[in-house]
Amino acid sequence: MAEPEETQIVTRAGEIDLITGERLHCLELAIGGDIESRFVVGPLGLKIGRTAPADIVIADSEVSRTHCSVFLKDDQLFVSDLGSTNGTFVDGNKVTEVTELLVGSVLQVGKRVLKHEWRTRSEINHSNEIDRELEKAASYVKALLPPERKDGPILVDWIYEPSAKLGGDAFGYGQLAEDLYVAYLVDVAGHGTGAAMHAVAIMNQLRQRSLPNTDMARPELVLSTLNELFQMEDHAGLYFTIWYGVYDARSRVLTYASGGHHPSFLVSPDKGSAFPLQTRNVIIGAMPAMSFTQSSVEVPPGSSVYMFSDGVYEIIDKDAKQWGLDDFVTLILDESAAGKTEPVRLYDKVREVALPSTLDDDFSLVVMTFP
Amino acid sequence: MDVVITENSGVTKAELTGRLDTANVNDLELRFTAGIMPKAQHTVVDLTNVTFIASLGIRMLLTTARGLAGRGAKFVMFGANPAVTEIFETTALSDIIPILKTEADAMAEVAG
Repeated sequence: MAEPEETQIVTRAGEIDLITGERLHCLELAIGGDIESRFVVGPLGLKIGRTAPADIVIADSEVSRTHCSVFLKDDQLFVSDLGSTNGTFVDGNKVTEVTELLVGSVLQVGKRVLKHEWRTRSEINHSNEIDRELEKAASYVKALLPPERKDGPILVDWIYEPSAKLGGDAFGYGQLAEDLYVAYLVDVAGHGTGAAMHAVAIMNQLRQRSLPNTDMARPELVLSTLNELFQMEDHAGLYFTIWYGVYDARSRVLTYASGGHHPSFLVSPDKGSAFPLQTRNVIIGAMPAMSFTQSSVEVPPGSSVYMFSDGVYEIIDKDAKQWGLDDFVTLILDESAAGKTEPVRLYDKVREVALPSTLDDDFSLVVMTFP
Repeated sequence: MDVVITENSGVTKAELTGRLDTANVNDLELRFTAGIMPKAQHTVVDLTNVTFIASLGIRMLLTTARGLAGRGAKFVMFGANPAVTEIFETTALSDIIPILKTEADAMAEVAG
């Protein structure tokens, strides 16, 4: 398959005379096409390594503890390898001596790349402002998430790690009526505050159990109503997927429906099996007047339901393999880890195997155990 | 990631290549929609060389399909590999956009 073609403009900072105003040399760490972090190179330069006290810490096993350094000389940026095990590369060429890093050049350290950009203060300030807005939006989503539950008919642990550009994940659970409990997870397509705010709007409807003329205990009706309320043409082209389940603690029956969402999994207490909980329904908002179906399953004592967004498994691993759902289910069935909740164990494991640049979506995972 | 748009007997053909992930969709979406929508005619999309589709990729396909439907034109896809087919099954996208095996099937669908 043809690789994406990129045009790279490489130049010396001092040769650009069109620029007015102060410019700063920056190294930008990208993830999924978005800038994850920006580091301004000051007079003291920056050290890059796997752990502190490096100025730029890259948690990648292929990065040495003290890997390389970048520094300024006569307003030009240079890089020097500090005896790293796996080498430092500039535009694909191994650094064997002090090498100039031209504006537009790409510095590769382990599996990560940093691009040398020359930014004005106003550009940086504007970008920082957007980042702050994203952080605020992420905080808002987090504030709406329910606390973990350590007792009661359902025990719940979860993890929510928003991506650098904030995806549209949100989830919730709670009591619908005596002996009836609900859990749901939504994933709005796209990134940024728009997707996050759309997720919040959906979640608020579900949190307040306020869908019009809808029995919230019937997942198929909930999805149908959401589909009418949130048609993508009326909501800036945004659609979402959802998994929605209702548990009856008296009968131990879980009734569920998924709208364009991959299955949640019912996992036996001994982790011997993972049963997919999915009904084939379209994504929500894609087309009006669609019909939705639900299904149900009896929940054996001690079993757990794993409910998650696609950000947990749509990764490329370090062997360059595109992961699918099956790969993640294999991880689910691995032994639990002492001292870690299941969501944290799985998060750590995915981070360990994934190419960092492919961790570009929210990571949301809820594990509900039914004693 | 790339898109090549051609025309044959009044049918637009869009050939996508690579990973339709978030970053690539951001780069590609304008070219894709601008190459298809103004023609407002039946369109077939070749997915033979697409290895992965993220949710934003589905949104791009869905938006274009709905836009064409609004103008009375069909939007049909073909050639999806097993991994991409699994994504379409999960989202039940085939309930909205016909997904066929071969180009001949797709051309027959838009002609029918």
